Amino acid sequence: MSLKKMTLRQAIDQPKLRSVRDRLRMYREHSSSRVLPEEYRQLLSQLKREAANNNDPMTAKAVWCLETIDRIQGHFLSAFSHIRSEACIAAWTDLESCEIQISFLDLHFTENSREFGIEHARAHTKQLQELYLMEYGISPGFLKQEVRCSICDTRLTLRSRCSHQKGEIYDGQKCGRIVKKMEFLHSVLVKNPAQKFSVVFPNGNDDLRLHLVKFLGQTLSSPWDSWSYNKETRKEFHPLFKDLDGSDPCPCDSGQEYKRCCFGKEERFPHFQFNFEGQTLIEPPSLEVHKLN
Amino acid sequence: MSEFTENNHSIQMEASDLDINAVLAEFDDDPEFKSELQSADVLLIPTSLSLLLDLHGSVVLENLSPEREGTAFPETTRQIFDMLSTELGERATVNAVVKDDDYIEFALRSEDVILPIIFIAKEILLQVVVDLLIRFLYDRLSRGGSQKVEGTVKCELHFEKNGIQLSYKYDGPADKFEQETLQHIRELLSNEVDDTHVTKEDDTSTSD
Repeated sequence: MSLKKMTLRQAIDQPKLRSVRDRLRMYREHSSSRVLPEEYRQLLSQLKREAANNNDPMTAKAVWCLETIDRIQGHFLSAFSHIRSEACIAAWTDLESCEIQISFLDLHFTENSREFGIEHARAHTKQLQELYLMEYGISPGFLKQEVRCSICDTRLTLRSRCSHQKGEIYDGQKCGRIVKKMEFLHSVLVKNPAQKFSVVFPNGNDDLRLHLVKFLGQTLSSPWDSWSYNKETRKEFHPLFKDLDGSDPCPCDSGQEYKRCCFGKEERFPHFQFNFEGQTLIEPPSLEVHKLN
Repeated sequence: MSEFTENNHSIQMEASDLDINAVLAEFDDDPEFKSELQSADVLLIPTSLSLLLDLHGSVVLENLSPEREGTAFPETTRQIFDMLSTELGERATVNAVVKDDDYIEFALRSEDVILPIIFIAKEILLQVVVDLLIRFLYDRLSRGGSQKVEGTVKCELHFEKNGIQLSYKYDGPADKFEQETLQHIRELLSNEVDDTHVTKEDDTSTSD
């Protein structure tokens, strides 16, 4: 086959990449975050070097895609491993890394029919991130004074550029921008941080908002099992009120009897129902949801 | 002139406070470069750092350079510069009020978007520049249409209408930028049609 006419799909399907490809396709059988053993990674590095030397950019790109798929699967598995051990912040950074790597891969490769679990990782990373109920992040403001191309080291200005495109793959290396000189000015609280590494966890791993994530970690048998959730709000009595008699003093300290004060007043609380692989809906313990409020 | 202000959402159409001659005076010692800027139809203008910092967010957690002065361009500038240059092609000359060696970008790791200040020297280019900005924001914030548009947009345009220099400033939700901005610009341009119409009638009566 002519190297010039080979598509990325054909390059990935080459026999010399079979062992790596097959292992990445068996993603459901992996539980460790190190999907590819070291010898497989060394093989990819060697094949990439050879492809670059042989002026075979498509094979080099195919190798980069497989390396990226390895990183995506690894971060996704690592996130669940952390969630199971209730290290939810560590899991959060894995999920962000997973999302970033998927965005890199999206520019070049689309998988066929759940071949490598990328679409599963994409959908469930997003769902998991939503369960964290995070609202605010820290956005740093800084001045980029000297930016260079990661491929050719050309200094990039407004009017002067090199021929390399950001995000494109050259000899198996992704082109990026390297900020060589910068000045940090300040950091502010924002609702939409572009990168989620700097999201705010006010109480660390003990943050009550993480109870849904922990519940999922305890319930899900495999990271590769599908799940979804429904979110709704319901009216309920506050837990402080549920064991009171009407003649008891009202807990709101009004000085009145409960039946003449807060009795009958309901509050709205968020409720989540989980659906695991088409089973009936399962609700996490609701008491901790009340603590959110 | 109009002004609309609500929580975290403001739109202003008013007389421009931009003195383009004063901005270009910085390059008096380089007449060739200054001449290039003067002949441009669309100019990207640096923003003061104090304004950029204000636009970035009001809840400041840490400020390492409270007295920092100077100007910079927001990090959307390269893409806007490329897009306007490519899309306007031979119809208009696009330039930026900065020499390459002095180009500094203000970067913020946030989904909120700050656009560079844009001076439009030709009235006829206003609509097309606005259309291009809308397309840029849509592509950037919706990830090519695959996601809902979120975040905020800060935009400042300066242009001439009937010999009067005006400015349009938008600071608000990204998903309302298109509707609100198009409405304001169309109202402005429709007034222009009315003016043109009056002028034509006058011309006709004169010829009679």
